[in-house]
Amino acid sequence: MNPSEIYAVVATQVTGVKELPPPAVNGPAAGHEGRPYRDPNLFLSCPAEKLPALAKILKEDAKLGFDYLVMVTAVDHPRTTAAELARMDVVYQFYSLARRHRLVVKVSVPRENPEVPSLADLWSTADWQEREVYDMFGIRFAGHPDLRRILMWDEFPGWPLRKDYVHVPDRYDD
Amino acid sequence: MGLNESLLEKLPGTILNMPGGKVVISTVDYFVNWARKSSLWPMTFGLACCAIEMMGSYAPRFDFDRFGVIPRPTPRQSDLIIIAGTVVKKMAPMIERLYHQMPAPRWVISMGACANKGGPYYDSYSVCKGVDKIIPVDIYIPGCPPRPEALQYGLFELQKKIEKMSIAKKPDIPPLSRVRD
Repeated sequence: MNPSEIYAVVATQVTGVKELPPPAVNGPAAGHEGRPYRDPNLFLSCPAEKLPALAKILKEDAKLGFDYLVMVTAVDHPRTTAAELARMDVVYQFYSLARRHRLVVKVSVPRENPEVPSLADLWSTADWQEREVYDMFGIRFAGHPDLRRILMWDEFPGWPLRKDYVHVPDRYDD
Repeated sequence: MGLNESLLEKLPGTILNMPGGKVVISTVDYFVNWARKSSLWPMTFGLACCAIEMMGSYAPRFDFDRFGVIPRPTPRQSDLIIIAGTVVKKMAPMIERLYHQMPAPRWVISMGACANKGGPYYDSYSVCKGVDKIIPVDIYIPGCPPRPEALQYGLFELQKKIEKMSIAKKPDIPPLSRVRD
């Protein structure tokens, strides 16, 4: 299915899901030869509370059939324009092995007390990937079976990949 | 001939001819140090890409076996620990514990930029800025990663250091570079 067909199927079943337009040609994300660099996939923005409904459709709808969660990651956006609020985006990339189509879903959360519903019950991949996002960004995943740090040790202070992270030197530092 | 000639040439001592062979008279220090430097058994401790060069050094082309270097899987049987790779803060307490499980006298080779000073990860939140923050390092080998020749040279420098030891006094333990506790 092409991006517009995927969008049509999703939009009829879940409300509040918007298609993200490609970044401006001359904007900060301008890529090769002035063209914005972005894969020709469908990019969706979804409110956090709609994510479980969207995920269920992505997995179970016969036409969509996204059986593979490629990755879960996050992006911190502390500095934005006056119109935009500081936010963090949780980014999901889905793929259908049977139909060979791809989809990116971005969920914006506030930088204070961020929380997103967990997808670990639908895709087992999400278990460790969400733990890594929690470890690096401090985004909590509601309903996750075992939400602990995965790479850093349990006592590690702070969220290292947040833009406002300040490193506290310890006995292993200069 | 029981001992080879080149060894006897460098020997600080005398050789007496006796019926049926020779008697060698030398210092205890010389023989103890000779034994120690000729059978350095390193604790296998590969942490990152330097470990690949370390494995290459043990393999037939460089063949560290000929210097008596036989990698051991346990600290209890090791004289030497080669820290080959990036020491992350999560691993640092284990390195410290393994070092203290090694029987004295024990030596440490810090192999590569990461183990020396953090290397390219110096600004990272998770990397220990040199293994000398936690254990005393005898030989630092620069490189990213060092070639097996460099490790071989470092081993020879360590052997020279061992030659200067005496059983009459405690071995010199290099200082740590830790700046805060």
